[in-house]
Formats: sequence, C-alpha cells, structure tokens
Amino acid sequence: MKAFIENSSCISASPTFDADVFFGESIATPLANEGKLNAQDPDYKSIITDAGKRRRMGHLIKMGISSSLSALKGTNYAKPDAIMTATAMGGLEDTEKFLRCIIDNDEQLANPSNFIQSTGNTFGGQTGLLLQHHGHNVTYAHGGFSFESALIDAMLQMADDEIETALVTAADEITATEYEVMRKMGFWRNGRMMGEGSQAFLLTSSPNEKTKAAIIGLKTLKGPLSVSDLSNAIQDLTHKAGYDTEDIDLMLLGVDCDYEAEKTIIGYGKHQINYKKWCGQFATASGFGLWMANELLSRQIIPSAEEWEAAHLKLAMVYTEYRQNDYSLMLVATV
Amino acid sequence: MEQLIEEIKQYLIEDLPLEDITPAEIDAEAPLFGDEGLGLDSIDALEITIMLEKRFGIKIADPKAAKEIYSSVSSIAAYVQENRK
Repeated sequence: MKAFIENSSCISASPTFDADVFFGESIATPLANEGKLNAQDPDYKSIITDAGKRRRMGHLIKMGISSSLSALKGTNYAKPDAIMTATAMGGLEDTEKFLRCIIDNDEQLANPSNFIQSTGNTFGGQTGLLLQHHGHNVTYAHGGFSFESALIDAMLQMADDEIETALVTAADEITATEYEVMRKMGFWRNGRMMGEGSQAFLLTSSPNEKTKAAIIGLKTLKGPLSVSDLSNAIQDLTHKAGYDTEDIDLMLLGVDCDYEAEKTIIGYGKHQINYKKWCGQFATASGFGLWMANELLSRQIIPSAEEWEAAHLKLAMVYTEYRQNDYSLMLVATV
Repeated sequence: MEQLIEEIKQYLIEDLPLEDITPAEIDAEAPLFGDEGLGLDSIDALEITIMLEKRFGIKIADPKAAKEIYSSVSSIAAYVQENRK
C-alpha cells in the first residue's frame, strides 16, 4: 500500500496554515491558555466566502472545510475521487449546545442547527456539498484511530485501483466541557496540553513532478504495549516497506506522557522530534504528525534549538500515542 | 411594538444565527424566506419555532398558520403581542 502526498494543509495551535511562513521563521512553540492549545484560526470569511453557508458552521466544520479547500487549492484536482474525513468527537461544541438546550427546556426543545452540526460526518458532507462531489464520502469516528482508518480506506482503494485521488481530512476541536471532564479523569497531568486542529491531504495513487513524499506504510496497535511489541512493530513496518530501521532519518514522536522517557525507549531515528509540542494532544493529532513529516521531508529541514536547519532526509516515521491506548506508526519516504 | 420588533430582530440574529447582520439591516416588513429579504430556509423556520417557545413561551397551535406568522419580523411581532403569556 502506498499513497503519494500531492498537497496538504494544516490548522493547528501553531501558525501552520501558511507553511512557508511557519517554516521560514524561527522555531516557536505555542503557549497554552489554561492548559489548552487553541487553534490559530485563519480568516474563515476569506476561505468560506458564502455567508449563508458559513453562518451555521461550528468551529470544527470551519477548520475541516478550510484545511480541505486549502489542500485542493493550486492542484489539478478540484474534485478528488473520494473524500475521507476523520474526527473522534465530531462537532462537540454543537453537541454540547444541543444537549444543553434539551436539558434546560425539560426535553421539550432541541435546536435543529446544533443537532445537524454535532454529527461526526457533517464536515465531510459539507465538503462534498461545497465541491459538488458525489463520489465516495465516508467519515471515520474511531477514537485515536480515526485518521489512520481514513488513510487506510484511501490507500486500500488506491491499491485496488478503485480511486486515483483522495482528500483525507482530520479534525477535532477543544471544548471547555471536554477539557473539564478529562481533567476530572486525571488526563491533564505531567504537562499534557489539550490541542485541536485540522489537517487535510490530497493523496494520489501515482506521483507527478510536484510530489515530494509518499506514505509507504501504516500500522495501528492497541495498547498496552511492551517495549518489544513496539520494537517488533517498527521493525516489521520498516522491513515490509523495503528498509531497515537504521534507514529511519527522522522519528516524529507524538507522545502523551513523558517524552524524554519514551524517546529513549523507542530509540529509533537519527533525529527525533516531539511533534505534539506544536499541536497539543487530541485524538486525530497523528494528522499533524503526518503533515510535519511531509513538510520536513519536502523541505529537507529539521528543527535545531531555535532555527530550522538543512538536513538530508529520506525516510521518516510518525509514531503516535493517544491516551496510552491507541498507537500508530506511519512510514513516510521522499519520492 | 417598536421595542418588541427590535427584540425579535436581536433574537433572530442570535438564535438562527445570522452572521454579519445587525438589527438595523433587517427590514421589519421584508419577507424572511425566499430570494428577497433575509433568504431564510426550512431549518430557520424550525429555529424560529423554538425561539418563540423559548423566548416568549409561545407555541404555534396551528402549524399551517406558521407560514403567514413567519413571513416577516412585523408579522412575528404581531403574533407575539397577541399571544404572549
């Protein structure tokens, strides 16, 4: 299975929507606001120009549609063969408003707009409507494996020659209620910060002159994992793609707990990066990891203490952990 | 009546919601639905029904009458004034 990354877009807690600016400036990590890393939103009015369509969109939908439209912009694929979206929680802000209305009004009233916007598949559906796309359109709401499941769908269909292009978009949003519930569960300890954002990828089954990188392997693993489970999985994925683990130039680690300890345990990669310091922790954060892997391989740079510095990179692995339960590995290579 | 009309305009902006529109920009006599006026749709009609119940405690007894009641801000205000508890 292989999918080439034609273009991508990223909205996150860092100013990543304009990638040239983000990678052109000194390295900076976002500051948390009461434990939350809120997205740095682009000007949605300039991206979703129809005020009538925009007025009912919640934050998740605005992020998802904007990153999707941005990933398609400047490519030759105005309408991809398939749309796959990934969100663990869907429109959580609207879900909370909808439930609050029901509770406050003794189960007698329910806002239709909030209900429509609350469902997980709304931003995929609205992307389809905006693009006038009538093909395969599926949303994956699979917890910490949502984004990986969407990618697997795209890659399998490409392997079966069912599709040649796919728009794969991940999105999840922060709400104060979710943060509070997870705080009570004890999740926001040890410096963990809640994040949000949306990453979109236009994938193709064959490369062209613009293509810089491809996803050449993907694996999901259910925790708890021992060190040997993890090591075996990394070796297995790398070998199946025709590489040795020594070939991994860059390891992008998305860990929820102790980065320093986990970095040592994992051990692979000539360079290692903790990518969640730029985006925070959320169920589809692996989308940010893949976006960063593609950008660093395409630009041939790695972060040093303060600046992005030139490096020779061919192979990167994105390792993501979510709540010490859902783990994924994505192998990305230059083309 | 003028005050009630302004109140309803504000509730429409908040509850539908209407982005980038101020109360002053809503013509109380203009049609709310269709191509003219605000161009509201069927989901907005449901939201107005909820707005009337939540904000004024008014239930539309005859759903067929809703089309006429919801035709403009003025017609909604007249219905509210007549039926407010």
